[in-house]
Amino acid sequence: MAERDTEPAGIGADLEDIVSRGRKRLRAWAAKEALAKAVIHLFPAALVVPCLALIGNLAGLVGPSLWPLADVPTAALAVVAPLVIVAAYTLVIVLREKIDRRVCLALFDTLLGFKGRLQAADEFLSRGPASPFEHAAVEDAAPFARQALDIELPAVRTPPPDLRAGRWPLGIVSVLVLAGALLLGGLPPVTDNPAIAMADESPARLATAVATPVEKDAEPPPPKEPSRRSLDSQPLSSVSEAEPGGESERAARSRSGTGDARSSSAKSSKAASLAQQAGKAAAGASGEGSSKKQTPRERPAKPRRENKSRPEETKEEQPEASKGVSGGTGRSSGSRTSASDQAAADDKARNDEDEGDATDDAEEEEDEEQKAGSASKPMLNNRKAAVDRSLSPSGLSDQENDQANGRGGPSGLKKTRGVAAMLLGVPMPDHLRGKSNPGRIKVERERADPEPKTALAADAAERGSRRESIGYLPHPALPPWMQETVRDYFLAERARDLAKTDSTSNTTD
Amino acid sequence: MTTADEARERAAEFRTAFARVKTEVAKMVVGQAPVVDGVLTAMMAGGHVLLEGVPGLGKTLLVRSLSEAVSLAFSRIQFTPDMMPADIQGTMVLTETAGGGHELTFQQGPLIANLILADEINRATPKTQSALLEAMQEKQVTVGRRTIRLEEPYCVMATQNPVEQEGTYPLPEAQLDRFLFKLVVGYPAESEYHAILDRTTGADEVDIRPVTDGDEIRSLRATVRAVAEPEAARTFAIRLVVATQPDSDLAPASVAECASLGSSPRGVQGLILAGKVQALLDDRFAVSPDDIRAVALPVLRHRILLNFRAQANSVSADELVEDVLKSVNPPHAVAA
Repeated sequence: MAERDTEPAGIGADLEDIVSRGRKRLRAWAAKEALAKAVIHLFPAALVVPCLALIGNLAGLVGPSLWPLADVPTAALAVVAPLVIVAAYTLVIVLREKIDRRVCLALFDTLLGFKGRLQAADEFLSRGPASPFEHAAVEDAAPFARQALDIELPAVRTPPPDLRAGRWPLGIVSVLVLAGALLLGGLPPVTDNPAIAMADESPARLATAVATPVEKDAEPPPPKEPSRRSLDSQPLSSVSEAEPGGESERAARSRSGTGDARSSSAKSSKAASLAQQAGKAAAGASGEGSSKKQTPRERPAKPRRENKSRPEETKEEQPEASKGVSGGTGRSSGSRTSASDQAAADDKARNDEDEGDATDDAEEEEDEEQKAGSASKPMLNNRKAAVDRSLSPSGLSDQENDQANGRGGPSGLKKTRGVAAMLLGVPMPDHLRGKSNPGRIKVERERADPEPKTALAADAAERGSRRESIGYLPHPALPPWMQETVRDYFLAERARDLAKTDSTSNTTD
Repeated sequence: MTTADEARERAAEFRTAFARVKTEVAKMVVGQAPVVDGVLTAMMAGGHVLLEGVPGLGKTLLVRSLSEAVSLAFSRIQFTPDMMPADIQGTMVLTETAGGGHELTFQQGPLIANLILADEINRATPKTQSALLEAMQEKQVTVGRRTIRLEEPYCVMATQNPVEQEGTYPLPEAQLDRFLFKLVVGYPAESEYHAILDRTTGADEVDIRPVTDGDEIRSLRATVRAVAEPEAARTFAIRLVVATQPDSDLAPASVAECASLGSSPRGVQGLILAGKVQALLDDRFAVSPDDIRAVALPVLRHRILLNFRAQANSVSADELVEDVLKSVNPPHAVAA
């Protein structure tokens, strides 16, 4: 009997085995759960590499020359990266999961219906059973612990991956983005002339590219170098048509998607403006029809630019000449994109000198013009635009308005704006019984002279007698005290009448 | 005999005594097994019981049968609106001595007994109801300058009718909190009506004999208190009680919205004591969260004070306790 007081044989070891089994089970379960959670992030993670590739291609970080080599790693990375992210997420969750000993025992208690026997026995064993009932609880748990080791735990349901409708389209989007990135980065140049195709490359690459094919293909004669005068005088379309492969080059640039498409349009607009300016300059030189503002700006600039640029342009080829034109436009274009900057950089070295001169001249002219204007209107420089006094509700937009001066018009969010802002936006029911307020009543008086109207007199006999019931006539019931009062009043009236008649009869008698 | 054997023997005695009393009571009371179990559990745990049900369901009969099955001093108090505290506690009366003189002697009221049946307790005024507070909690009665210690076991079993609210006074919260269980007596099943007719309309008289006494009940109560309490069960009981308090973090949304007051620490004591009885009846020596869960409804339902929103939406305290049981998990529990 003495051994009954001590720990039942093997229950400690059994509990340890149960704990280790429970830990394995719970760790596997946690891994499944973590995986189910991580799968949610699979599709967003799949977007990362395609987006980076697309941005890289759009920004020109990945050149077309790397195309055959760049697409395979990019595609592989696009597939592998989300898997790596999901795996890392799962691993982090599993490693951070701390599985308590009591949780392992509670798992067996719950799944096998032991009603906390294993947990209680483990707790009492760890601190030493103190009372008879704790001893009994430990002994009572021993057969259940052995049973727990013999029984395979029932399968635990893991939550399915939460692939909500908003997630899986991201996978399709990522595939499309990746395909777009690969297509944009991988399109070979369309033109046959490598010099044109690589016109936007670095000067060194350009030099090598130009040198090689021209030497090989000596058959086509070099295009006649157009003079600057003829270039300025004819429209840009005719210039581009005159260029060999001009259209194809533009098409190739627009397809390449590296920003050249945008720059080509910018260039064409700049070239058009240049042609316009040149025309005006020529007109100005002949002294015909120029406005006051344009004349002083363009008249001295154009002849100088023509004189300086002409000797250099004769050494250049035609496509480059067109670029030189666009690069030398100076201040005529309002917004310049980065791509057009890159394109203009090629010509910048050649046209540095005359462009600088032209720019300086234009700035000088502008300053002079401003000075002249400010002399006639001294406060013109400090003058701001007139305040917009429109009474549209300013609280609709939270953005601050630079023009706001507190005198009305558009301004930032204001707390109050007179009576209109204090009106309730939400209709509130009236808490008082009765007719609701009809609102503001507008009374208009119209002047009208009274007109007499004739009415036919109706005889009383024509009305006839009433044959129908007169309907319901309400007889409000008076309170008893009022009925008494009314009755007394009429009785008194009757008595007075009787007394009066008696007195008159007596006097007559 | 080892310590474990001693515990086993005491637990076996408890189950035997419990079954004996239950069998005797079942001679008179047909069906209502959960109510009978609840009444016996409260008596073994050392608590008081509030029985609520419509008239005619055998509430008074149950308590009277129990008083016959246990050999205890029993007194019945029929509460009425004109009853005064002195009527149940006792009062000083002027009596004539043998020598012809007079002296004030204490005439004890029906409250001084072992088993009290407070019938229709909500018909008494709050003043009279409050006379029970000291007796139920401190197990003593103070009248004037005299304090009378009530003999253990002391158990108040009160009944109230939930439908006839005319001329009744709802029990104050302080008194409700002193009841361990609030048991709702429902209608018997159709099959039980035959037995009811046999026992009440036949010629045979049902004889209930006492099967236990005060000493044994005191011993059984000591056995209940000796049952081991693991940390998991204790934590679960505490969490349940905290979850009934509308301002606590554990409270479910329904409790936060519909309860104005939650359970007091007496609720935790009641959960653990009643859970121990459940563990003994289930042949275990340590209370488990399952035992706590089994007794949570009768222990907590009268300790939650509903607010106006709950009354307007017809939300009952039982629903709130069910929500609490759903929202609170036992410690270390794994969602299977």
